[in-house]
Amino acid sequence: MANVFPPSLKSLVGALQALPGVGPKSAQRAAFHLLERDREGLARLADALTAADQKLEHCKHCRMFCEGDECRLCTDPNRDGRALVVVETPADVAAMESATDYRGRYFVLGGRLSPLDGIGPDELGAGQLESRLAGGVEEVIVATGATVEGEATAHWIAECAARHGVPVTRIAYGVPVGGELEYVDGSTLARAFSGRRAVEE
Amino acid sequence: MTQLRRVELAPAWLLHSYPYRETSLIVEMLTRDYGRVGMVARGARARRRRGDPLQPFTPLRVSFRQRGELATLAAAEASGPGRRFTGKTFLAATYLNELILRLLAREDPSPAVYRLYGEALAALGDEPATVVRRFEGRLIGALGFALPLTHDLGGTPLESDRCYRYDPDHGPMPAFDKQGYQGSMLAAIAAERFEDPAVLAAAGQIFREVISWHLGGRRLKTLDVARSYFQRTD
Ligand SMILES: [Zn+2]
Repeated sequence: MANVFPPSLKSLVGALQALPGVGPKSAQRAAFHLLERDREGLARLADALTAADQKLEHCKHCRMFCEGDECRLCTDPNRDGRALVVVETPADVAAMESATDYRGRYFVLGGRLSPLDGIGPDELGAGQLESRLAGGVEEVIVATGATVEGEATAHWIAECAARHGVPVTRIAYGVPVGGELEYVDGSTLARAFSGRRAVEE
Repeated sequence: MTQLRRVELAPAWLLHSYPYRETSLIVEMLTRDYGRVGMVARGARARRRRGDPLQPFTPLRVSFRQRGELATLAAAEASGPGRRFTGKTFLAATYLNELILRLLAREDPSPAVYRLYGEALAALGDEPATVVRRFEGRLIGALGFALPLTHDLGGTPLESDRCYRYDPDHGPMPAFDKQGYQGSMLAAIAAERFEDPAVLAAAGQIFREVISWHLGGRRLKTLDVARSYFQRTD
């Protein structure tokens, strides 16, 4: 980086590169944009980053991001604590919340089984999941991805739930809404076929 | 390699993938004819949101261009149904992947390793230990790491009721303290008589030692994960 930059500018450009997909050039462009055209945005960003760093933790029950040690989903008395949806990421919780009328609780794994990356049950919060399963959950709905690792993760969760005598279901996969059979890939179609169900009347 | 290489529809298995830049993946492919090739799959993470044939344990045909060490994946399609492994079979299958990733150098074509891997995936079932041992033993052989099991390095045949230590660098050496493996045990390992649990266990110890020696003692992540997985489930 050019030596003509003062230290605080250099460190801003350096820090922006912590963002995924941002290299030196785009970091420099972003820094100049904020400094020259959006000083207010720069201040807001600074405040938001500090607040996020100081306040955000993982919920001790479900591992969702939250302020304090419990999240709003876990403390909301209107949500049904007997149902537990297990997802891979916090973004999956947001997707479920906006797309479905589910009113139970969640557990966020923070990833999926990936032995080649050193990610096993311990890294996915197995201990916390076990205590949830032991604490009044009556139905587990596994909502991990339809990937090889997502499948293996679902199987592991089903094993855990079985040890606690909790029934498990897995969200269905199949033909996308608006999709025509001819254009659906073979493995999706095979899965949709094996998971067929009665026609709703 | 400075010349551009273009490959169309090469048979391959996906061994591992990890994020690269904002939307791409680096995929480690085991191809039949070009060995292990690292490829950039541009935009693959965006595609993954919509479903993607790029999955492990699925026979693939891949087209790629390559000039430097990393190739660029141009297209990938499944050439048959993939296997969906769970539980200990999933852990075993990822262990096979890690063995190839760590022991087979990139750009070292080995149709034998490709064939062994496909055979092992097809044979993996609910009790994967036998398949894994056979794969370890044959992989060591295909990579040229094999050590004798029926005679010592000097060529002297082992005596079936004598005890031997197994040194990953020197092979069987007579043990004078009755420790180690009987010659008959080493012969059984050589003959892959893994239906005998004692032979299976001894083969596991010897192969792991040989593998660990070739890895310079570095640990295998899939084994660490498997260990913690079974601690929780057993
Ligand atoms: Zn929570």
